Amino acid sequence: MDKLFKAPPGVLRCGAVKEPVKLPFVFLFILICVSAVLSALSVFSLWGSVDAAQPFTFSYFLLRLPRAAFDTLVPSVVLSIVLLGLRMARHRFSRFLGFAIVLAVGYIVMVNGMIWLSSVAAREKAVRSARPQYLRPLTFLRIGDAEVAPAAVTGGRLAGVLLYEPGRADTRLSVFPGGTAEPAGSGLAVSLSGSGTRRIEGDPEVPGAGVFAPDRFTGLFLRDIATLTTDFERLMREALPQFFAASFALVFLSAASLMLLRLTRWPLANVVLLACAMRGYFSLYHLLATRVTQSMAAVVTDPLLVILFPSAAFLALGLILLLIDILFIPASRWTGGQAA
Amino acid sequence: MNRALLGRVGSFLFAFYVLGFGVLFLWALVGFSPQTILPSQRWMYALVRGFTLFMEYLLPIHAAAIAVGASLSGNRMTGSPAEPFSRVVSSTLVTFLLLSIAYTLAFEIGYPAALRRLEDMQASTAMARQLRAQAELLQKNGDYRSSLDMVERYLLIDRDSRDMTQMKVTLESQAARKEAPAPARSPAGADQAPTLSAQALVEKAKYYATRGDWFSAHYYAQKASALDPRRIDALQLASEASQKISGLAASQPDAASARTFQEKRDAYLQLTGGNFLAAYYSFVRLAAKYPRDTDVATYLGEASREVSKVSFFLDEARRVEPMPGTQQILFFNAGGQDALEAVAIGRMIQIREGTYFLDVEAVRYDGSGRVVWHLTAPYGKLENGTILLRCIDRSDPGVQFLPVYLTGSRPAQERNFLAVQPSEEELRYLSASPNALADMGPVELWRMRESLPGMGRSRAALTVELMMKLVMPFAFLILSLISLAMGWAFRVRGGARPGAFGVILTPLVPVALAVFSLLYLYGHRVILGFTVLAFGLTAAVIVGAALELVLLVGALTLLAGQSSA
Repeated sequence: MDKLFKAPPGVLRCGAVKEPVKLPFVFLFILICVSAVLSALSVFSLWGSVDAAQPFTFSYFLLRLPRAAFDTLVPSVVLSIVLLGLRMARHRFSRFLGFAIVLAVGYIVMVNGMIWLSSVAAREKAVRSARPQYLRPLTFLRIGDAEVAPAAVTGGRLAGVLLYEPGRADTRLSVFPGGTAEPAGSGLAVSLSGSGTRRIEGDPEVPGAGVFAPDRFTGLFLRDIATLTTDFERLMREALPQFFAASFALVFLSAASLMLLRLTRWPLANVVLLACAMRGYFSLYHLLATRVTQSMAAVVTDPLLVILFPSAAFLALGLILLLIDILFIPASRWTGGQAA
Repeated sequence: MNRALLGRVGSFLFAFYVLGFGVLFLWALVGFSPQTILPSQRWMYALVRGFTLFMEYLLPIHAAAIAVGASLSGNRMTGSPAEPFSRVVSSTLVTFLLLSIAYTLAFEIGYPAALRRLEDMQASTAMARQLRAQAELLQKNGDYRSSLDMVERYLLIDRDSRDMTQMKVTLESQAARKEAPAPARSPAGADQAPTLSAQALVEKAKYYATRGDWFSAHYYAQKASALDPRRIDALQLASEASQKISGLAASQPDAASARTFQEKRDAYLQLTGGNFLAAYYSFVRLAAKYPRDTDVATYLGEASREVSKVSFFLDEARRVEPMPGTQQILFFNAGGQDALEAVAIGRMIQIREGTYFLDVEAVRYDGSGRVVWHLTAPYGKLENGTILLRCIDRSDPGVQFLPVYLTGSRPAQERNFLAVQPSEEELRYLSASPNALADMGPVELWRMRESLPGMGRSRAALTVELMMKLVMPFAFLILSLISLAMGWAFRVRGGARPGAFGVILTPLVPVALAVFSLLYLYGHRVILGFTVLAFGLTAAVIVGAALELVLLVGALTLLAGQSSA
């Protein structure tokens, strides 16, 4: 009986075959989960910080979802690669095969995902909320340094408006018989008329919406992600080959960085190093895209080439990491330690 | 092993906490700006600011300590038997629960208090700068006495300022020829008589009449009569005492005594006639002339008590001016039918003697924006739900601060008062400053949720803050569990040591976990904030509870999946 179930010589063991086959599906599963969570959070945050004056509906959610998924696709792919890397580090199989799978699947998903989501998100009409709705009768709304509280609100028209300006030397309270409120750029403009006229303009500090404002470090992270996504979106619209190259560079660097998981004999330090590296890549991209490319732009005339410079740097960095992996790091550092 | 894990995690927690606080303290010290905080408060600022930063970044520091401790504690020597992980981790979990309780207390009590302290420091610095500028201007204009007053007020805030002490000495010498301001009298009206019945007042009047103290007899008889106009005996006694007082004036042995007696009588009549302020100043003058006169002392106290019902003393307001308090209070007052009333208060200072206000401004208008009246007053004092706006000097009737009506006016009996709807406690939370809600605990937030929205504050903001305060202890506990599971899962194995490279990497752990834990908290805020704004508090509580439950189960499952082998 034993002979019946014994694998014939020359055939890979079951476990060794299974993991590479499973890997793309695991990657996709992780990516879908991560992308769904980040997209939903993005829609919630957008609604809370910008559109909270209008009721939240399922149609609003569906309307905003494609754009949110597009905005969060790059970090989703990178995070999925990290999570997949943690799994790969615990399973013994060819690291080059793993690298190739991560690179191929990550690249395909990212490129196709961005193109598809971009086309879906383009159908979304700009639904700008009626920002004056933030003004509620007898409730203070901070706009810039001032606070405004109308006695009555009808659409964008205000009546009996109280204005509080703590910075004024003479009187902080003023009352105006009427006024209007209208969107102004990303903020709100309130024009008040009466004995004199006043115009208050700025971002309204919507009550409760402060909760959606990220802390300093998270804000920087989100800024870096936004820089990268915006650049990729521009490349995608203006020059598809360059977009493919930039996407490849990013996924290549992320996949190559998984070698950091085997860098030392202390797994936690490796994980931390990988997390720091991934976070650092976004900052590096922002730095390269905003500072270095400016000086490059003076030399290089093609703007697309300038945009591609950060991606070229990523590719070079990825190659270095890959070489370090090949030359210096034993393949079984982590799994070998576990076995021991 | 059990003790080894707890011991290792505990020692790393201690080390990371101390190091974290030390670094943040230094950061606050380096970032200290004398433009915003007085240099004499540098160390206190660094301590308080360091503490607030420590509380803000406690989660990553805490998570890093646990993860590093756990990852270095499972280094079992090869060959020794493995202990079940449940036994290894049990006491650590209990410790986490205790730490979560401690964190909750620090977050709900210590952190808001530290934030308030920082705000107070900034406010007192701004005031000191203002006083200094005024003092310098007044000195330049030759008004040394007023400048000296400003300098003295400055020194109440910044006692150790050498240059201001020097300036004070200079000003004192410059103002030496001028008369020093009258020393502040001891607070009058302290011996407040308990509320007596008409009968008791009549008895008291009779008692004084038998002793020949006709002023007191008249005073109490009049009070009894005012309390109960049907008391004929009180009226008779008052009339008799009045006659006696008139007779006494004529029977004075010399002109000086007669004049003195006349002055006392005039002051007394002002007091009984209801002109308390004039009576107060008359008795102050008399007390200065006749410090041993018991009648004058008694009625000075009585007049002072009556005056304190309608006004307060300038020295009280000046004394509290440099003290910390709640900034930028703004609210809608109960305005009555078809009228709105908004009140803005620069600062509210609560001390044992009472609640004082600086820079009071109020406006009453109707729905169409027509202003009925608009007043400003430099000082105010809360008295039975009303802000007294008349501030008087204890001895100089020429010095008093009254509300200025910029538009319109009010009846004479209301001009110097402002009835306010919010209670003293509610006033504290009506601050327009950004940290106003952070200062509130969950219980206060829950109570204020009902009352504050009626005064112009948003209920949504209160509810969001309430939800975040409720969730933070759970977030702390769950993060502790996840960090423990992560540290254990990624521990050094097989007798290996992290090595020098690992030691160098250790400071990166809090950095990496800061990214993770801050994103984790941000995710919490987005989900709960969204639920509150979109669906209200009940839905938010349900979602919050479900979220924490799922995360807790997930963290425990992750932990349970670990093995000690």
